[in-house]
Amino acid sequence: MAGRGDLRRKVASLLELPEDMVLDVARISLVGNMELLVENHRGPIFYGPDRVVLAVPQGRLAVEGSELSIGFLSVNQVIILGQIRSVRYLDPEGGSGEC
Amino acid sequence: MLRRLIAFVLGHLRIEVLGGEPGRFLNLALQAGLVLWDVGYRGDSLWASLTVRDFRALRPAARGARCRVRIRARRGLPFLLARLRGRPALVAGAFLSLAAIWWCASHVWLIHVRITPPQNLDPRAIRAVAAEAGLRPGVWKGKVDVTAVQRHLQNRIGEIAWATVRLQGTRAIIEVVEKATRTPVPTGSVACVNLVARKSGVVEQVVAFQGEPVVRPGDVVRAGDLLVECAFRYWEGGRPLTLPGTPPPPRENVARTLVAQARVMARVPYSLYQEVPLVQEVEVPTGRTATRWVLHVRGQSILKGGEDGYPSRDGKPFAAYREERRVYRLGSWRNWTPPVELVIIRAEETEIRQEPVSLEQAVQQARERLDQQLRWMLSPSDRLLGPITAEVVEQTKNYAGIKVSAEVLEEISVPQFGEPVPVPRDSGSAEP
Repeated sequence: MAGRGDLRRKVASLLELPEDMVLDVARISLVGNMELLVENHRGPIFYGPDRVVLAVPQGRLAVEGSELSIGFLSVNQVIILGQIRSVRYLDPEGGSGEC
Repeated sequence: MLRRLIAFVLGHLRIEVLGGEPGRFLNLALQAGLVLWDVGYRGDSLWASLTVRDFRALRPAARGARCRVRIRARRGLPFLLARLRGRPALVAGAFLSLAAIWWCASHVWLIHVRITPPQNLDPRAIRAVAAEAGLRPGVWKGKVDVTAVQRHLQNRIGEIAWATVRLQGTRAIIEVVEKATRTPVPTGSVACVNLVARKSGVVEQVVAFQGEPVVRPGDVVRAGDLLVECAFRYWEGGRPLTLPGTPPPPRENVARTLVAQARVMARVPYSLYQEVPLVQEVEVPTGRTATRWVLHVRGQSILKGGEDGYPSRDGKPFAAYREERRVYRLGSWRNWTPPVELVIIRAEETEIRQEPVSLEQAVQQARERLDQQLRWMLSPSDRLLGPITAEVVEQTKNYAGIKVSAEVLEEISVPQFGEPVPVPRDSGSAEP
């Protein structure tokens, strides 16, 4: 798999194509600390007012903050609103208790 | 924004998800391809919005997560229409209100007149004339022909130099520029237009069509001097007898007033002092060239080539150079232009050399400059009397001070309002 990913990355680099289009990765856009757009996600794993965990192709993405809500949720996109404090990737295998 | 609009048009529901596992519920809803928005916790329950169509497919997700789903609000156009169906009077009232607003907004209710200073015109007169052309308060905007109103205003009111009419909401704005005003003429007098000199010179020819000339060929006049008087005068009791060769006595009585018209040609001198450099810098090509090409697509350069021939990579091929750009593009069709074009840029290296200028060349340059200025200033009927003369006033190592002079035969008269003249009593019988 790693070999195929490398090949894709090389092809994208050679043809100057956007890597998020060619590689199967999530695209994350943060607007200030109040809106987070995640494209190409795999669905919510945990949702609470202070913490949202999303499944993404590379593993899990944890969004922490306060008054978090899901502004939009579809198969490709999720928009998280609220006071966002941190966004970080979690280990795909190991887990926190809540997930 | 568009998503919200579509949701409003199709109708959407606000639901409350109670009990079970809300996180699992979200996942299952997502797997079923449903779209949710405004998802949030309120107390222990989860709230979300979704379209009416998606709600029907929600049951398996709710069952899988062991949740109960309650509809808490119905929003959007279908629900609004359903509510309004039972209230025809409200709908009729809304339509009537909209129609009233539209009707009021499509008429002109105010006419605002703006007149440039000194504002001798009365705005009420402007409004009255505009009303003749169809622009009056209460008229439907579609009936107002703005161009026709402007034309009618200019035709009917002689004091208007220019008028413009524009509609701004329910207001019509008429802007009027008054004609240039002249000295007010007292009652019992009429205006008088004289001809005066606009330049100083020696009069060569006076041909008066209307009015009395006060200068003769050979007279020296200064700018502003009276050349032709507006009043036409005559002798009371007919032309007096005079000895041959002696001038007749001046005519005293005014027969009528005129706008003086005449052709007054005079010799006008021009001179110009110039300092012409005796060493000038000339840009000379060295013979070295470099060529490169760029392919533009939609105004952006996507391919470049031939830059290897460029001696420098910072965009400038030489320290000093002239550039020639040739653009090749495919033919356009109607208003469509192909987005692709090839630009070939050829740079030619140049160097600045200092070359001496002889005194004759400097004099010639000074002459040409004056000639150029005169051509720009004079009218086609004016002509140069003799060649342009040049005199070297000063000469140093670096420059020569040259005074060039020329004499031109040109028309020097311009009209100017004079003192108003009293209306003669017998003006009718004394026509010339």
